[in-house]
Amino acid sequence: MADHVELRSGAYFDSVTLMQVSRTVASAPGVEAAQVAMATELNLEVIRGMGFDVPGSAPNDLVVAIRGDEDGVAAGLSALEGALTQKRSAASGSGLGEAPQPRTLGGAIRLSGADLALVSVPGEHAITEALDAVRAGISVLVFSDNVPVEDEVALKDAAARAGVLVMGPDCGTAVVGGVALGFANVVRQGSVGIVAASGTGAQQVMCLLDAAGVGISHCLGVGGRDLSSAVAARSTKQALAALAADPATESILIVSKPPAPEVLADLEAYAAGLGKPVHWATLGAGRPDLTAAVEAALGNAGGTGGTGATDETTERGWPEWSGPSSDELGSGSLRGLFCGGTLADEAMLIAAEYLGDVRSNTPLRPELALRADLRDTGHVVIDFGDDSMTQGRAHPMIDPSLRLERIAAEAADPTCGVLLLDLVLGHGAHPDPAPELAEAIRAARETAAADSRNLPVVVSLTGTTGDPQGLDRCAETLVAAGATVLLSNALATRHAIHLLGRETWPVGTTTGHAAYASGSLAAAGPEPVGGLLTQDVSVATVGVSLFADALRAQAVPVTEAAWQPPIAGTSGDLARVLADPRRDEANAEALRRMVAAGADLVDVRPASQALGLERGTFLHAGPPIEFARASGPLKGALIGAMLFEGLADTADEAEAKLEKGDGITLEPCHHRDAVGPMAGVISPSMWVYELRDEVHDNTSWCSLNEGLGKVLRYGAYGPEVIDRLRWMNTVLGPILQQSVRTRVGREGAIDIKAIISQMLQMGDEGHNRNRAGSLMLLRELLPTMITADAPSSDIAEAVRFSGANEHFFLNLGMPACKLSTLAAHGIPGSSVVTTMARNGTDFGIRVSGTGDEWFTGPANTPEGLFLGSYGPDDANPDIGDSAITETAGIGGFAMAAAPAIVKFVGGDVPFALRATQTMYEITTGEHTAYQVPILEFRGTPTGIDVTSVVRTGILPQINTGMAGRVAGTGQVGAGLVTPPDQCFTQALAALAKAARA
Amino acid sequence: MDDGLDVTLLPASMSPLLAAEVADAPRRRRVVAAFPTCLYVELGAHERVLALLASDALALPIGLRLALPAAEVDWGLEAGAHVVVGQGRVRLPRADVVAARLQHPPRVRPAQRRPGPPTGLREPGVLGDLAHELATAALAGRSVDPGVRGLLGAGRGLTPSGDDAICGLLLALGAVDAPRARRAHAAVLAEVRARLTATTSLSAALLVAAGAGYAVPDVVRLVTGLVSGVAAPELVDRVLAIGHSSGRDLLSGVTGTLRALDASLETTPQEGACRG
Repeated sequence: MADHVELRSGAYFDSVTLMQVSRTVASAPGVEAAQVAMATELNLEVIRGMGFDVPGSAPNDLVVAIRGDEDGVAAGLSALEGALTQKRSAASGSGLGEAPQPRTLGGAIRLSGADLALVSVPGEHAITEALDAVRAGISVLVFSDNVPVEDEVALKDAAARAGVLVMGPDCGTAVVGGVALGFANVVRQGSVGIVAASGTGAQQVMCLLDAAGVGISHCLGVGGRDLSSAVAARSTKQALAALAADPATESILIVSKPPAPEVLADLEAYAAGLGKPVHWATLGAGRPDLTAAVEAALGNAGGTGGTGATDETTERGWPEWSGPSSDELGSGSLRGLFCGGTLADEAMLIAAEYLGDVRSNTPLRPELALRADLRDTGHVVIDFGDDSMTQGRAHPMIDPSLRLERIAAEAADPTCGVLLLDLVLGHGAHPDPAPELAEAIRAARETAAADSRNLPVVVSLTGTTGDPQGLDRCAETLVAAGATVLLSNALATRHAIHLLGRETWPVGTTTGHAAYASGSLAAAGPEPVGGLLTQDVSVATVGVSLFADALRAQAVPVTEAAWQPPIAGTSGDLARVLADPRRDEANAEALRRMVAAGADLVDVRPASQALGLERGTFLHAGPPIEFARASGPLKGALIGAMLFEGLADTADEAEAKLEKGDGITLEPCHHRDAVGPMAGVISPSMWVYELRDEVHDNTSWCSLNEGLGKVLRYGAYGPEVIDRLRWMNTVLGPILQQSVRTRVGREGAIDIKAIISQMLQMGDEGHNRNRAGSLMLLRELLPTMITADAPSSDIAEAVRFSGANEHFFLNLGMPACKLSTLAAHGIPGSSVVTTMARNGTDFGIRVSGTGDEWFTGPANTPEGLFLGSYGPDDANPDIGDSAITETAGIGGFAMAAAPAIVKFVGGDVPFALRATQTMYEITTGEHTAYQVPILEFRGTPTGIDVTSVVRTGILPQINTGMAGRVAGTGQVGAGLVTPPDQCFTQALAALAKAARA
Repeated sequence: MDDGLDVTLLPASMSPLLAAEVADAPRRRRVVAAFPTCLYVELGAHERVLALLASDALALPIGLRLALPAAEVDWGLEAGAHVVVGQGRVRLPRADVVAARLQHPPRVRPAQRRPGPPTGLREPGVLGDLAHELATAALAGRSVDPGVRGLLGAGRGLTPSGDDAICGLLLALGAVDAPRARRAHAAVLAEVRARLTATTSLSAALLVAAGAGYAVPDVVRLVTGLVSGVAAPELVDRVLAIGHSSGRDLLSGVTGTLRALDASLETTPQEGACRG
């Protein structure tokens, strides 16, 4: 016997899927026990409790624990792979150029144009997803529970502003236009509209109506807390308005757990003005139970009234199934074990009338709360679907194991006199729940009988003849096990109490009351809740795939988001930043400015003039760094610059002076609005391009490109490097200056932005592939270069040098991108990234809404292709300001425009297409000037949003050159790299701190 | 539940207009036309047609509609082939389409005419004129026979242009709550019903549906809006994009009819006062 325990990172599955996978693995031959679950604390506890030794892990890891003989473990693992692949295959797009599956609800809505959303991710992440729907202007059903009430209020207020409906949180059921969402029974269509602050309550009511031959138009769930004081019927009022305006709805039934009295009073006044009869199935002491409320409503809706008589004065014959043991009496206490919260509430309200105090985990009064072990010798009702019981596990309507255990425990308890259970059928529920429950009932009765006790069992079965599980078949299975089964939960409860020897008949007739409007509904305004009730339903879902499957089975178009939890530890910050009311508009403004920014080449001159650089000051790439922490290539480039500036005669002397730091200042290029590729070192005598954004009155600068190979920017500082820099200073720079100035005087500045949009259509992406851009730039410069006042041999050499350099354009594309992001910088509330830069040691980002603060983490080392005999060990971590291209929406973000680049940076063509399509998931919008032909001229993904990166875990894709890690080496290759995620989590934390509520 | 059977089940939402034949005992039915996005199947009578629609097909009111786009559906059938319709499903060679739920198509409902800014088509053309003439005759209680005869079945294709214009006329008259409009609607519809064999089966089926107020959702929304004087330029664009010329033809019919109706109601203002 052996234990196999492994952790897998980056594999996220929902709890329902993992429950199914666990079962598949556990049933493989030779497996004795198995658990496959996300490594949450609760799950780890369970797995450790099974005796497995689980190493430390993060909650986003998948834990696989299998116990068995050698063959068993192997069989278990192979079953696991099979099951996971099957689950995954539905969730991945892999065709050439096919967009990857969206990771967020917002992405799924954008992709599909869905008009309704369904959220079932774990509660702490539910609001984030639901807000996507509200922002997109569509209604959303939030199945998730464990959502803080203040978040619910904020979400519902946002929804009201957007004119859409939030159903939930903790909304178990809804029927919209004949489509069942979440847990829902198959009921006939009709004219009764239901608003339900209760999932199983609504199901019970719909099933009773269906049994009476009455159909429903829509059932709008609003979440179990909507009628609490805190939420104050926010969604209920919207749902009522929608049903009032809906032509298919003739009367309305409101179903709820006991509501807050003042909310109920307010709602009654509101309902009176709707123009349609409204009936109340709102539970509470002294108010009618659900069955009585349905009977009252039926008097109005003209139903035939169950299977029995229709006369109001006689008892209605709701369906029931009984067997030989149905009149067997028990002695002791009532034990109600429920999956449905409202059914449990109703049972307690009725039981309290006859039996007095009933203890519960969801008590009617606080003093009746059960202890933590949920045991008591008196009357007990437990709601297994309560939030406290479902953390980290599926709802008991899907995973009944906890309740089945409790049934066995009750059987062995001599104080248990009668068992009252509920069973809910329909879409979303367990596909065949009766046999398992019947087995538990049979076993329980046998246990009691062995102890010479009677244990009567009563089941309230909520279902319809149309339900896939089969109402009669389920009922008969349970009756065969010795249970009495009733459709009405109220009657089931009374029967159970009766079996304890109490008189429960006849029932006092408490009739429900209907409210009628005096006038007709106000003139038709815009359709309430965005036309939800009249549109053809198409749904975007995030979370449990079971619900998506149930919708597909109903011929509803469904788009699923391939959701995974956000980067660990960020949910609080995310919620704060996403709720910042300034954010949407601030990000839209940032994008507008990025796209609108101009980039004109206006001059070429020495950095001392252009940037006011003083002797001894060196600009460098990336976030700030002191020399001691600098990487090889940055050190090499600084040494080279010292030699070039005549501040040292030898490399050793230069390094010693740099280490000492006397009279030497190191400063990021970005602090002067400049950019430098790779090491990015700019010293005062070096010449720089000067670009202007006239729209926003900004200027940016960048050094001249030295070509490839052994060059200063890659950290080389040999004599040939210094000689080339001198030539660039004395010959190339002045010629380019004359050329640009003459050109500006004659025809105006050179529009660099126009070249970028052209080059993207010619196979460049503007970061590591600049061939077309370089040629186009040369075409612009040549006429005035060749007429410059210089010896013809110098002009010839300058033209040859520029023409031979495939990256000639990079040093213009970068400042053009800098101007774009600079324009978007400094907008309060904006979460758009305006700088990504690396110094070879740290990766740093800056964000529009957080000013000039850098958020840094250790730079990753690129993976890619190497020049000559160099290999991965020779590569330095990521370096350079050139990631400004990705920040502005080109480079790695435009890889799809430049499939040939994979020969330079690695990967394959599908990867290049996928890379661009994936970046749309983390960007605010699309560039209007930079387009990708193969994506039907879609604009490049532009404006990285910190919140999207954190939510999806998708990191910006950067193409980059690779410098040798040893100073003086030069370029060793080119490849692909991403920023470290802490840049984004820190930025998010800063945004959260600055967020407005 | 169908393990062991080599058949794929494709759930579909079904228009109640088809429910009778689909729920009936299984019968062999002929495919009238086959396109990547839809398959038209006759249902016995000339004007009874079932449209099997992919999710990206036009949402016709006589449809059994899948949740899958055309790219993921292969009917495996051509016009003239046979399928079995009944017992809640349509049996195709490679799959069974199952009616999983009822989907009520949107429908124009009579509402008060509120003339707004001139909308619909500025130039409804010859079809608009013909619809105008037919509507004027119907509203004045004159014979609608020549008008209907001139339009019904006139034009090429599965839904001839004249039929589209009549659909527009029926929808527009059906959307106005005035006794005169109701009478005109009934007169035209009776004439159309008597002559359905003059056009294609599919067009006949759509004419019958339009007579009951049913059309594709954008058309219903547009007609409802036009009647109550609400301009919706983006809806107009979407309707114009329907079919090769169907959207334009239909809108010509709507425009001509509404103009006739306004002229008719103007000449007898007292009718508005005694609306029933």
